[in-house]
Amino acid sequence: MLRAAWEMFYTFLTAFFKGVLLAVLLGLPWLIRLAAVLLWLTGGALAIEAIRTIYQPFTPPGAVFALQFAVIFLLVAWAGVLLRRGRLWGGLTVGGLVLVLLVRYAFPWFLGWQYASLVSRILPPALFALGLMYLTFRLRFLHKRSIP
Amino acid sequence: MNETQTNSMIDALLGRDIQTDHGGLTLGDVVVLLLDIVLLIYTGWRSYDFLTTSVPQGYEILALVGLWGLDIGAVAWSLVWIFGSASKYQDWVSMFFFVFDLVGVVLTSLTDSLLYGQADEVLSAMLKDIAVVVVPLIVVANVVAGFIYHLASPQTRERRAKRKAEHDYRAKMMQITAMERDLAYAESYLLARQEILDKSAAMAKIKMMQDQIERQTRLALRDLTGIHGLTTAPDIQAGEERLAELRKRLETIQAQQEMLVTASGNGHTPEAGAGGAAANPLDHFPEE
Repeated sequence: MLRAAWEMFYTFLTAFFKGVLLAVLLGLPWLIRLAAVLLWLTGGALAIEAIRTIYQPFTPPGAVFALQFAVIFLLVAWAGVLLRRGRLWGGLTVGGLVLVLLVRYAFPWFLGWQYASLVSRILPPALFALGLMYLTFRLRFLHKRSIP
Repeated sequence: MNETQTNSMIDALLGRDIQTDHGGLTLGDVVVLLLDIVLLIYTGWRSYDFLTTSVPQGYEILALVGLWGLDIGAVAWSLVWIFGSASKYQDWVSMFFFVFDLVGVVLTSLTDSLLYGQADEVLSAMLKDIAVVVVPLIVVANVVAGFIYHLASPQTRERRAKRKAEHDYRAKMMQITAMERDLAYAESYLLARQEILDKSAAMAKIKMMQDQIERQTRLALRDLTGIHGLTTAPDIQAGEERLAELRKRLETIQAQQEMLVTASGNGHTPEAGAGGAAANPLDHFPEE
């Protein structure tokens, strides 16, 4: 009686673990995708925190929010580019990994650099100026080309 | 969701399914555009923060006005260069002030950030001194540039040329009007003078006629003997006839004298003896 019960329980456990294993195997792609999203979000959160660390000492809160929003926007734009190219999950993983590594290793080195303060102060307006120049020339080119 | 569906969704989000005259914006263009908008908030905030330190308390609104010469100015000149400028000078002005404003944006952002926290004192002081002078100059130069841009506009130049031509035309037409007016006055004067001359001529003619009548009357009064009529006879035969007539008159006069003498002796007046005919001796002479 006891033996029969044990065999039945063993069969049940075997079926259960096989089911769990099968479920894990079937859900593995989605688990990896979930991990990619988490890695992407972690990288973004670390970048946002890094921005706050750098800019909070010499920036009004509103301007810091704007810079943090710029990072959020870049994260979303990166996802958009990946969606367009059909390489979302791999791109999110690589992007998140690069961000995490940058913040973990490059960021401390940057903070210790002699000109870190000056570069970080000049970076946002310089990026704005470069972006605006790019857009200006690009749109002018498109506009001129559109004129018959 | 396959790739085609994803792309069409992104195209719809980016507005690429809308036909514009500017060609097509790529995803990269849109990303840069949105990133620039976000960074514009940062730089605008910085510029405003810096400008508020350079205006008196209670006049912070002036700092917002100053933004039109920095961040907003840079974007505006960019748009002007892309879509608006139509002449060489407008291109130069818009491109120069686009770069000029961007330099101002970088300067104010950097200076404002250096005013916070533990920064390099020497660099902060130097940049602040520069920015305090340069930033108002940039703002004012933008105002001047706006006028220059407007003056360099082909439409403005066309309107100026048209206005000048209209002015010249009006000046010439005023000359014509003045000439017409002078001609009208001259015509009026000449007509009035002509009328006076006509009257003068008529009066002179009347005067000449009157003089002639007067002269003839005087001649007639003096020529009681008809001598003048004799001398003015056209030929010898007429002269002889007039001479005979003259003799006849002399006889008549002598007879009248005798009658007068006789009448004076009888106490009769000559008028009564002559039957009234002698009262006006001219009645005996024929009119010439």
